Amino acid sequence: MKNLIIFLLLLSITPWFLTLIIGKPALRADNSQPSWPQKISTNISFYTSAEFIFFNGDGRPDYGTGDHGVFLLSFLPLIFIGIYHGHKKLLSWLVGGLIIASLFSSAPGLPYALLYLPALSIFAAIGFKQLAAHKVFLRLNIIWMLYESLRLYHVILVHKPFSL
Amino acid sequence: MKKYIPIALIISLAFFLRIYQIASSPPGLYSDETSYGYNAYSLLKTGKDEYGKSWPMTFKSFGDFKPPMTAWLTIPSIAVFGLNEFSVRLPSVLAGTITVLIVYFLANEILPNKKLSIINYQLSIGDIAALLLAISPWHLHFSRTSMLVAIEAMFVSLGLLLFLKSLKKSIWLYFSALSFAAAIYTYYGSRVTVILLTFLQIIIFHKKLWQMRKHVIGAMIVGIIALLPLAISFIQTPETLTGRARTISVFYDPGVRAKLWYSRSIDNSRFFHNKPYYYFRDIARRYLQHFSFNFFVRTGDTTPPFDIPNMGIVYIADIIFVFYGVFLAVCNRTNKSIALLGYLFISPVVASFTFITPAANRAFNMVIPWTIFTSLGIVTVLSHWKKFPFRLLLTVCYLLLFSYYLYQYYVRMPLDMPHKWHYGRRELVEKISQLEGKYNQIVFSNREGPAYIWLLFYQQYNPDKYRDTMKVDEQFDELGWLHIKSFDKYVFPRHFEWNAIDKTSHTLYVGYENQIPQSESVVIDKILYPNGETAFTLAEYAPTH
Repeated sequence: MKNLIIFLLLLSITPWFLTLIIGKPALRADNSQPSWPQKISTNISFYTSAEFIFFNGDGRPDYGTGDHGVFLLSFLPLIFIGIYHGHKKLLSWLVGGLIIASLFSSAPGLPYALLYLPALSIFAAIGFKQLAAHKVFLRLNIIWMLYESLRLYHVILVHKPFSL
Repeated sequence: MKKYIPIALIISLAFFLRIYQIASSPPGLYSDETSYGYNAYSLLKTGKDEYGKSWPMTFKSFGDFKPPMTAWLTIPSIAVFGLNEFSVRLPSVLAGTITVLIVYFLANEILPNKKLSIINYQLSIGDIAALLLAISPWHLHFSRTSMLVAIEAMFVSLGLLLFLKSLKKSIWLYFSALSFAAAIYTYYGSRVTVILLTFLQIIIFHKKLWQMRKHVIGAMIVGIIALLPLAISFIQTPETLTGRARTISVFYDPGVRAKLWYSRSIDNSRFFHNKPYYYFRDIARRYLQHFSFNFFVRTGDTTPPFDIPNMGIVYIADIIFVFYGVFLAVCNRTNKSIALLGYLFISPVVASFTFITPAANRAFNMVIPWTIFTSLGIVTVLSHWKKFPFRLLLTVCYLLLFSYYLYQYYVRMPLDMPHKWHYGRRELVEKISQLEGKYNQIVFSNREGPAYIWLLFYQQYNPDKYRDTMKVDEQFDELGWLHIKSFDKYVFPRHFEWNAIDKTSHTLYVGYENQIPQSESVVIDKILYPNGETAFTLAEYAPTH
């Protein structure tokens, strides 16, 4: 139960999840034909890039804030720690999701990324739990996360309507 | 003795790959290489740099205040082989080859028990790491040019190796300090990288270092003495410490300020839109760009002349193995493997503070730990997968990737990007030398680089005569460049715009295509790129033409 609460709490301040609720993007697959292998390379590059995950996200207005990635930057250490402590099935989900997203999406973006983003969210939750053993780092990370989540809501509530 | 046969062969291969066609590939001689060559020549002949400063600790050059080590190392090469492309690039070739040997010892030092049996040979992880570095596109690219970082990486990796050796035999600590000091004399980035790396080593090995504290203090004194000339020079010329760092730093770039201004124009909240957070995010973003698939495999560093056409800076096969290698190093961590991980993550720190990212040159030190972790991944996988077909498949895969790189480097690069390497300058200077007797003045375009330096270099121009006739515009431009206005009969307008420059008879104009209108000129000759396109046009002014 405690694990689930951590997971849900982190999810509530995660940009990719908020985008789904607030932005209501179309999650249909784009059926135009991808051109191999250039396309796959572009997709892998996009889905694994820090730009997409932590800084810009999906550039389209309905699919992100434009000011955040699909995760807050403060999640980066949590995800790393989570992957280090995480188990193989979860890692398989992450890698499998990345491969499927890279192979089949003709235009890289949030919809296909949803194949592996929940795995990253679970890794972040695992990382958060592991970090609890190191109080100082945990507190620092919570402060950082708190600031970024406030900023995220600020961008969604104040900046986003302005840009639309 | 038998165990050294593989590394001897690998070193030979590494040297061959670095020296082969070194004068003509990359095509042309880049402006920075040319500057180092001519300043080394000037030091050799007169004991002064191009500005007349005796044995400087920093070369003013184009206003970028270059660190001195590369020029010093180029002097013997020029003394033996003369002033040409070969002698300018030779120190990097040798440094690159030595680095392959250093990586052999470094990998064996950090991971001594990792071995791989192939047929009758027992290969160490050092052999595999050295082989990977010998054929690494990233390392080859910079070992074949006089771009500082090949020499810097040699000194930094040697410093780390000697430091790790010193944990068993303290005497090596003094040589480690000297090697790190040499790196600081080689490249500005090292002034941060070496400090961070030293700091990390102190944290990791503090217990052992405390036991040998007398030697630590001794090594620190050796390092400080070695850096003393640099410190004195810094007092006289403050630019000695940072060079052109100010004008290429993220804090100089208007991008972040513009973003901040835009956000504040909406709600003016300083709590959410403040400089520390925006710069922190920008630096973090630039740092993480150095770990992207795009940088490693797809595009590499797109800034000229650091790009290899149609590929990244490492082989795609490396990606899986490097991840596995890092994973293994973290799981089975020792102090030495943590030091290597630290080396990997510290290397791009300097580059992250500049606005041209990802930067293959500024983050070049990454190639050393990258190669060792890749070899760790390969050795571990091959130790488990002993079947012949898999090993053959991996070998064929690397051979194909290596062949693709060679094709891009030797065939595509001269055709696709000769201008990025300033191709055509040698041919241009040869042509000018034939024609200049007919003209009172020759006016050059500076568009792709300061033209004066190639004239000095290829004409082996007398440094004393140059200093007597040179005219410098001491005002730095917005990117921190100085401007040489003229020397002898050669003139270099800051902006070569046909309508703005003085046009007279008995003057030869040298510009890029479209810089000299055909309606007002008579073309005397053209210099062509290898793909047949025009590099330079040599023309006379003819208003009625």
